[in-house]
Amino acid sequence: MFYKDLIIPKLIAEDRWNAIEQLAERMHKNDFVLSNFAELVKDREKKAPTALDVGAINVAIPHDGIEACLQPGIAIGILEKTVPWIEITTDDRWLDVRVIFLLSITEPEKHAGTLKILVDLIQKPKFLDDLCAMDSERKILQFIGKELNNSKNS
Amino acid sequence: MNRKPLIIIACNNGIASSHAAAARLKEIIRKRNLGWEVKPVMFSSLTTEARYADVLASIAPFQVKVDIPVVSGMPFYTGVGLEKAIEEIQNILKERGFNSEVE
Repeated sequence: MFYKDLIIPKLIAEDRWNAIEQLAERMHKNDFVLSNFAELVKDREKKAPTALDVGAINVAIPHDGIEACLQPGIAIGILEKTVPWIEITTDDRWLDVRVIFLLSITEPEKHAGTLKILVDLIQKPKFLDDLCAMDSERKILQFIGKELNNSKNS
Repeated sequence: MNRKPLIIIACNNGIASSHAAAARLKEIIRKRNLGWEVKPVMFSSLTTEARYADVLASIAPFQVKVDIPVVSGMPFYTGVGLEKAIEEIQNILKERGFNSEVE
């Protein structure tokens, strides 16, 4: 579900809405989602935020319904500067988010395993440190692929 | 009770988080032979789904009223606090008349 074209290693965004828009635009350009995807994700984020408090580097995993998703894919944005994001299950607790995984999901049952592994990976102490130190799409893609495989085989 | 206990896991749209949480819970159920069933659901169908379920694990706050016990679904999404959450569900199921012994 990871693709080089969906990775933005040095994302510069003024806030979470702008970060979602840039990642969604990238997904739209590559035919993963429809043009209304960003709006749907932002609406959903207002109702049910998706930032996770996982330590020094925090992560958000925004997503929305199948209606705007054309093919399964995960866009990755590594922000140059963190943006404030509301923590999942709360409506007022803000986290500084550095890494964003924007999900296009077409078959929830089939993609649940990958998402579960991803949530496990971001809680591994070195994973986010290593990820944020990478500056090219290719390196990030290789790194994620390797980590996912290790998790699947363990 | 003869039927298997049903745990429903809810998130806002029933697309991503609830399925990922369900995948984690199913893994544990399989490993420990707990004999529970799991179904990811969306908030819009919560009232109906809850009628046939024994426990609701929710990943976000919800507005509708349900008549079954509610626990946090977050431990199944993130894996943090998993043992406590399993124990909580086990206790609820025991109170609801399910035999804790594995068949």
